[in-house]
Amino acid sequence: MDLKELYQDIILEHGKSPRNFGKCTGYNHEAKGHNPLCGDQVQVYLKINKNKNVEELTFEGSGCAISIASTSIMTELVKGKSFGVAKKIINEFLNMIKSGLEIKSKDLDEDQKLKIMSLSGVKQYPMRVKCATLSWHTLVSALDGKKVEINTEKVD
Amino acid sequence: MINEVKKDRISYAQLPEKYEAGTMPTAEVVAFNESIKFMNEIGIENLINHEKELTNYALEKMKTINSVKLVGNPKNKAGVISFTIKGIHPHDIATILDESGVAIRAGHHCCQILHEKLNLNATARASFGIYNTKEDVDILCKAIENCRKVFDLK
Repeated sequence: MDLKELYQDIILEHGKSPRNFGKCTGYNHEAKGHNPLCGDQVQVYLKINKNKNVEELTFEGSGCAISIASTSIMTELVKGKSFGVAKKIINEFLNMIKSGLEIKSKDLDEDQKLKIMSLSGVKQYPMRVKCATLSWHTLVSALDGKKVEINTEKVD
Repeated sequence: MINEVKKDRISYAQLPEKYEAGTMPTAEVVAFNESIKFMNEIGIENLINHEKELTNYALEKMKTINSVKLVGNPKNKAGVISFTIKGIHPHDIATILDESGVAIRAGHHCCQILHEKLNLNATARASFGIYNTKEDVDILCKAIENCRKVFDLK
């Protein structure tokens, strides 16, 4: 497989200049994630409003290009969505990475679908799957208000 | 140690026997003997010299690659070289090198505290043995140079 399929321009660009980086003001949900095998760490901060919409979504952390880009793209796609839609997008992403399923979500426009699909090359690199999924598992934990830190060795 | 093994179930012995190995590692013992024979045939001195020569060759060559930063410079250096590449996380380096058939290790190498002290979130690490050649080092260096191309870094 061509490395350029894994390291697409959009991934390199988000890896270098991640969006929504830092703590957002007034966040009311947060969660931590950690990959003990490689040392990647991520914290996500959410502001969920009265109507159960994700008003703000930001992150802090360190990791490889894949993990930073995946997290950056995640914040762009989930920010502004309702709680339920956010969960659906996360499931679609995880199914794409694990089972190679297509992204069919009606909640994402074409441009957003291209962004999320730029991460599909990760499936060909089993060692890197957890780099891409760490922050998404962490976001689930934050949405559910769980206090447990996500550990990639303990999730699927 | 087990208590009883059936097709569909197993029960273990009481502690502490439960955690005692039951079967002798026969294959490992035979392999260990062969390894010692192999090393004695070549000679420990020759093994060490080969590793030293390769390591020095690699160090000199890697120093000429501008983006590479070598980590650690002990007096008695073994055939192990830790390094970073500006702008690329070690796990990405490992994946890119892997595509050229070069296997390295990336991460904390079981010493997270040292990495914190050095203010590094991870390092890449190449190592050499008697089975490696100068040509292998050349392939490693070429693959390292390819990292910045894949990442579109000048």
